[in-house]
Order: sequence, then C-alpha cells, then structure tokens
Amino acid sequence: MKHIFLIFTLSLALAGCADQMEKLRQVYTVATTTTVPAEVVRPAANTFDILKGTAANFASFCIKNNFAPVGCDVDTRRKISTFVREGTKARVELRASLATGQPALSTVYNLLVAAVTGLQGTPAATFTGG
Amino acid sequence: MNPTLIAGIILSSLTAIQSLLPLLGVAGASSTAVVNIITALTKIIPVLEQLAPLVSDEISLIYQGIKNIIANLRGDAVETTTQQDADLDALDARVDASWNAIANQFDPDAKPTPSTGP
Repeated sequence: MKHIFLIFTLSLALAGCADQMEKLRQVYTVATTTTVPAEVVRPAANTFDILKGTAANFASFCIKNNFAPVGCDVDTRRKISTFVREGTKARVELRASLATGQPALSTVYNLLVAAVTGLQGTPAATFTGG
Repeated sequence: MNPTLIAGIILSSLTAIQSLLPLLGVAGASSTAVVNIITALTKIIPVLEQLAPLVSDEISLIYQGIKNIIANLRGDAVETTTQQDADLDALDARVDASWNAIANQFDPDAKPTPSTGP
C-alpha cells in the first residue's frame, strides 16, 4: 500500500508537468519536419498500442453490458472506432517504413499522434476494468 | 493487489507520455520539463517491476511497452532497437487481435461479415 501512495504522488506530479507540456505543445509541432526518426516513432507506436488495448477492453465491457453503460453510446463508439482505425493504419505505415530503413513521414506520424490524442479524450482511455 | 489499480497507474503515466509526443524530434527533448517527466516515469518502473508478477500478461506487455518508451526517450542503449522492435511487434499483434475480435460488434459503422453459408 505504501508503494501505491508513492505512485499516486508521482502521478500527481506528472499531472502538474502535463500542464506545462500542454503549453509547450502550442509552440512546438512535429509537422515542422518532413520526416521523423525511428526513436520518435517507437514511443508513439507503443503509446497507441497501449491505448488500443484499453479501447478493446472497454469495447468488450460495452458489449457484455448490451451498450447500456455510460460511454457505450453510438457516437462515442464511432469516435473510438475511428481513432483506432486511423491510428492503426498510420502505425502500420510507420512501422513498414522503419522495417525497410526508410524515414517515416511526419504527416503520417501526426495522424498517429492525433489518434492517440483523440483516444485520450474518450472513456476508453480511463477504463480500468469496469 | 488489484490489477485495475495497476492499470489506472499505468494510464496516468501514459497521460504524461502522450503530452511528450508532439515534442519529440524537435527541441523539446532537451527541455527541463521533458527531463523531469522522464525522471518521474523512471522512478515508477522499479515499483511496476515489483508488481508485474502479480498481474496479468496483458499488464506485463503494457509494462514492457512503457519501459521501452522510457528507454527511447532517454536514449538508453540498454536494450537494442532490434529487441524494442520485437517487443513492439508482439504488442502490435496482441492489441490488433484483441480489437479485431470485437470490432464488428462495437463499431456502429462496421460492415457485416459476409456469410460463409451455402
């Protein structure tokens, strides 16, 4: 339990940093470069995958409960499905570039980041098992 | 230990990581804020390592994903990029399979699966 408190303290500290990062985000954008290197693509792909996994868990929860819980409505399901679909397409394209040693296009990378950001704004991102 | 609690902790970490993504590859990597976040995430890892055997395989995969994100952000050469790509391949396959198994039921715009009947 002591560890859990430590983690929550760290999480709160991270939340404070996230506010600062939000301000910085308005200044810097990846789109200013034509391509992005592999070490940039990997963390983005990892993050998307983790969110996609959470979205799949949330989807199973909705299905098991006949779409009755909050966040299982048609509009939200459509949003989640679209972000997952577009993010997956971008991730596949980016990973294919890396596999062949080609630089990844920042336009595609930005699509992946948009999918991550979009999923973060849905109930799927905070779903912890119902 | 409650696995859903662990999942919540991991998601909190992801919120911070997600904030970093638009900055990567630009001048952001050297900013103090980025370094602070990476340091905080690094402190979480030993705790997750202790908890990992107690939770499901799925959480373990996520844990590996976060570990690799941190390694990337810090520029660590502890794990080779080949290993990181292999881990990412495994994670890709796992989440794709999970999503594909339920997508048609969940997505309101999913096209019905063609009948395989006579």
